[in-house]
Amino acid sequence: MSRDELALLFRRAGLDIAPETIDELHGIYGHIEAMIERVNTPAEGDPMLVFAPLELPP
Amino acid sequence: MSAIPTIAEAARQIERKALSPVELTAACSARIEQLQPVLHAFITPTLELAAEQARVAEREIARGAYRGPLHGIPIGLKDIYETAGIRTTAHSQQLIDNVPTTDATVVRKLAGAGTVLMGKLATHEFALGGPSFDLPWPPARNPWNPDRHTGGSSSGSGAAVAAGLVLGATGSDTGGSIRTPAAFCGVAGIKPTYGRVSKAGILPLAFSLDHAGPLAWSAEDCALLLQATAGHDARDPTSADRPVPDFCADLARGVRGLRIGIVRHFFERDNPVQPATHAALEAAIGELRAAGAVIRDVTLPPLIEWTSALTIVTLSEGFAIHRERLRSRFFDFGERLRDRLLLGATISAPDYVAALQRQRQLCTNLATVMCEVDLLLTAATGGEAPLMNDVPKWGGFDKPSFMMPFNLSGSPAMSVCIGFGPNGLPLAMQLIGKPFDEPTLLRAAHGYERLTAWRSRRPEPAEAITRR
Repeated sequence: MSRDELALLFRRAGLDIAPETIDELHGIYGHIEAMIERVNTPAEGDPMLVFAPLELPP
Repeated sequence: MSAIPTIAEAARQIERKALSPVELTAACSARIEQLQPVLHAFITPTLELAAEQARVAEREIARGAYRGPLHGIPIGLKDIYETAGIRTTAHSQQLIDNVPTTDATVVRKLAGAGTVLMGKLATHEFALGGPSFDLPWPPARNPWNPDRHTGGSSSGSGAAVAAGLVLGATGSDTGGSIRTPAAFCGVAGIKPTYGRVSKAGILPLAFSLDHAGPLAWSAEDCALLLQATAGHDARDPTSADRPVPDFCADLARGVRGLRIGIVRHFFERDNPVQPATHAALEAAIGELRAAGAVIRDVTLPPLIEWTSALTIVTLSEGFAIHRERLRSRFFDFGERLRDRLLLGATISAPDYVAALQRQRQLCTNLATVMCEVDLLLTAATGGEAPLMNDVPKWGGFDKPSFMMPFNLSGSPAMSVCIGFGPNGLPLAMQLIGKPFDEPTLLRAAHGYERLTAWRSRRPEPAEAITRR
């Protein structure tokens, strides 16, 4: 995601963020992007169901 | 009174009227007055209230109305637990004047058990992002060395218990916030099973991952605090309607026969720990084996898989909770929390759902492994507590957490002290149980504590800390 796309997301969320903060967040966003990619990578045996916290294993 | 008793030790003496709750509370108050200027463990001490509650407890006990092992015991509450008539700030400018009209369910239960409230304890702001130096109160400091971080987010809870300012404290844990300060401060801390302890009246960080639980000097003390606070609560929609067992019943059974799976790849490959921590973990495993535990290595999905799913869920839910405050009172957040929350705005609904789907997959894998063992053992932290000034703003994004897997799974998990590192600071292991099997988890932790001498070592005397 580019810096401008990130700034647009904040504006859409109703947040007026200082340019230097957007720069810093864009710098750290690579970690988030990698995590998003990881959870979106299908894994073998993935039941593709959403976790419900009280459905705990026996 | 010089030595700091555990809750269990104090309770035995209080019950037979050999220890006065008034004197016990006065000793804690004296330590608070001496050490609070150094440790900053409290946001709102309530020493006058505590003295009055102690007098009431003493009168009740004297007339034979003993309520149980927490009667007359001084405790502290993480300042995200709502307290009627006592401000609840979340360590944030946002809530600096917030005085709730009702108690959190856990607060009500602890009061009903006869505890003495010494005050509201420091936390990372809204339980995320610290230590911060731009908030209305300074961050808590580690009693083993005030230049060191306590860990968080239950920072004041860890510091206050370790220093003997209270005998027990409440914490909350979304990604390690009970277990990390317990580890860095050398105390015991249990994150119970998701749903075991009510979160009604506790300010949320991430609804689906938040857990409430205690920190105390020993596993036995954690069991006593858990006994008083566990149970179904209709005020909390995530509360589990399950029977509450006797958490102390199995403590004396020791570790013989327990099947313990070592998640070695977490701390050797996925996030290698410092040599002293590795040596302490190996020594602890050896102690457990020698005492009759059945040890084997097990494999779980890599730490980074768990950390990725948890981070996406936490940031998404945290942003949803605080979005309006970010819009209306942006600068009333500290920078560390505020900038983390902002990252939640970058996560889409499909990505949040993908994280929940991955959570289910990871938990299915964990459940399969847990069929073959009673407990898991792995690292709690990578090493000793870091220097306060060395805690990076974005810490946690570079190395995967040992704690987060068990917030995703909702499993009960504990930090247990396993020695001291080269700087004289505590080291810890993490034990993990099966869902709703806290008795076995506490049994193993207590059994280990009895095998070793680590519980006999406290931070250096208060006078020495004060002189620094």
